[in-house]
Amino acid sequence: MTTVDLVNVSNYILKNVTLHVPSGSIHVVIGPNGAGKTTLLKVVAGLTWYRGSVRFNGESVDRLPPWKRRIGYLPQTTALFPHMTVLENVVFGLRNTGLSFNDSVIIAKYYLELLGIYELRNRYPLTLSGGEQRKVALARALAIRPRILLLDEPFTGIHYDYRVQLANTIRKINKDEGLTVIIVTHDLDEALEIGSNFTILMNGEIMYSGNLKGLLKAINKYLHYINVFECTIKEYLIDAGLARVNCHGLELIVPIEYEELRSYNRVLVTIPADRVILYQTEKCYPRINCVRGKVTRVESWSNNLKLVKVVTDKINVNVITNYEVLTSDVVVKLPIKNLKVYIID
Amino acid sequence: MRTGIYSVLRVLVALALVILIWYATYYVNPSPLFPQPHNVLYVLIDLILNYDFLSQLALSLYRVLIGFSLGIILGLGIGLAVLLSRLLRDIVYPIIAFIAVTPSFAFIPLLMLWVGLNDFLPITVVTICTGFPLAYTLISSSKSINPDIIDVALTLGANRRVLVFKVILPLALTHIASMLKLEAGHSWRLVFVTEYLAVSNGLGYLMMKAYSMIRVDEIIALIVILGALALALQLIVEKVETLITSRWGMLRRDIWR
Repeated sequence: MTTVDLVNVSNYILKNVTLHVPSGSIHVVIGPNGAGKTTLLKVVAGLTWYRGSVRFNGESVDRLPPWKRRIGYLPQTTALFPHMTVLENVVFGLRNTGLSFNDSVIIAKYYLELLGIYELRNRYPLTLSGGEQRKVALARALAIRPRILLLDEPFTGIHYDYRVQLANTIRKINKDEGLTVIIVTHDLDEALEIGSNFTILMNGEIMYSGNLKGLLKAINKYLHYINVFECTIKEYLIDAGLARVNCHGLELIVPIEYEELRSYNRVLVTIPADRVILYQTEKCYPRINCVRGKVTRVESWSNNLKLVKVVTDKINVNVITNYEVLTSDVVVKLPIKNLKVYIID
Repeated sequence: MRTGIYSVLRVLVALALVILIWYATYYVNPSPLFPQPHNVLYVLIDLILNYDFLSQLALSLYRVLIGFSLGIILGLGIGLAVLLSRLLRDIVYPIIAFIAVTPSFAFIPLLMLWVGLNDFLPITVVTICTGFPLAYTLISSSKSINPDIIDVALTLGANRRVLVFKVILPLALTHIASMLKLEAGHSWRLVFVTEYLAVSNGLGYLMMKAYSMIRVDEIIALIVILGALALALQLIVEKVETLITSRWGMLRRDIWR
């Protein structure tokens, strides 16, 4: 059980970051690429320089080198030691704490079994799939029984099954041992799936920090690459696995899993801005989830892409597209398969 | 098996082609300075069966192997010391880099005067010219390791010593091996030149003698022998390299696939 506090932390990217992570929470830091998310994790782990103070349980750890902070760190590249077997990778950290080899193997075995990868123990990392590598890296980070677990985009680019298994393991350890977890990601869906507290980080500054309810407004204000709508469920179309929802007066059809949602009626509906389709004609076929609106702004986004802000009489939609925007009267379509639904209450 | 036969065949065809062109050149332009292939072959067999020649060859081989081994020890020693100590890295690294990039033959005149014209001269030359590039490779390859790996090792409680011996050194081995492969051939070059210039025995000296007596057939035979020896040493180092890297699934063909 460890609380983490960052007090006025500044360095080459972070600007006066003050952040409180309660003990035993799963704290998700969301932000676009280059926002300083990875740097934030490195500051907590002591892997990069900073001004200001980092405190674990109120005690400053600024003078502690990384190897004395007891941090479980899973970088985006997983960074497994390619010259060691899976078992040796997990044992590495345990041996450094002064444990004997046999005791280390017993503990390593427990964590490998927890993640269901014990049978891979004698393989070398480069012979494993991406998902398997991620699991090994998580087992390696957990085996040293860290005070805090830091995960850098842990679910990006791996198969759905592995995502679920990883998320479940992280939740289980978090619940059973009260391990404080900080996750950074640019993906809102991942964040909503696992997070209990949220922070939005942009250009090294914290824009929002708090629970799910306030997140919505903050995302609409700051994270233009995601669209979030607050909706109420009107009708279930059970056989189709769909529901009709009302978002500020706009009717949308969204995918749902019936068992999960029947007792709720308020939901968050999200769609990444690059999944919204922009029509510059009157045509929109099939006419499901099509909204007529006006273009208010066109900003440049990375790699020749443009961020188009569309206002309809009910909601605002951000669209990322590579087409030239020629007219201000447009139709936006929110494809059903790209919509995701999250329960608020 | 098929590929084995195929590659042997390929070498034979290449060899036949060289010999063919050689004979053709001889008949177009016969000259006492241009011996025929069979003449060279006779000299080659003669040399290999000659005790005096074999003892000279053993002497050169001994110099290469001792110098090469000492160079590896020297290089690893300096490299590890520099990696372990931040102070050493700041002060010594530029010196190592300078010596490593200086053309190695440039050291020969200096060492001729300092070491003297004796057995230690070729050994010293090879040791220095293997050791410093090796140290340089070790240190600079530590910089090309994925920084996340170093970061993770640090959070997993590794201090500097553990980091260097358990993470950096094993990961630098592939770089070191490919560099040693080049250096193995280079050691032969250095020993040969040193013997040719300064020492009165060894293969280089034999070459010098063959030259002064205008024995072109012998010169070509010596070239063939030298090439074969350098190739052999290179292949041995390469074998060791694949042995190490294939264990980790880092074989190059895996990456290319």
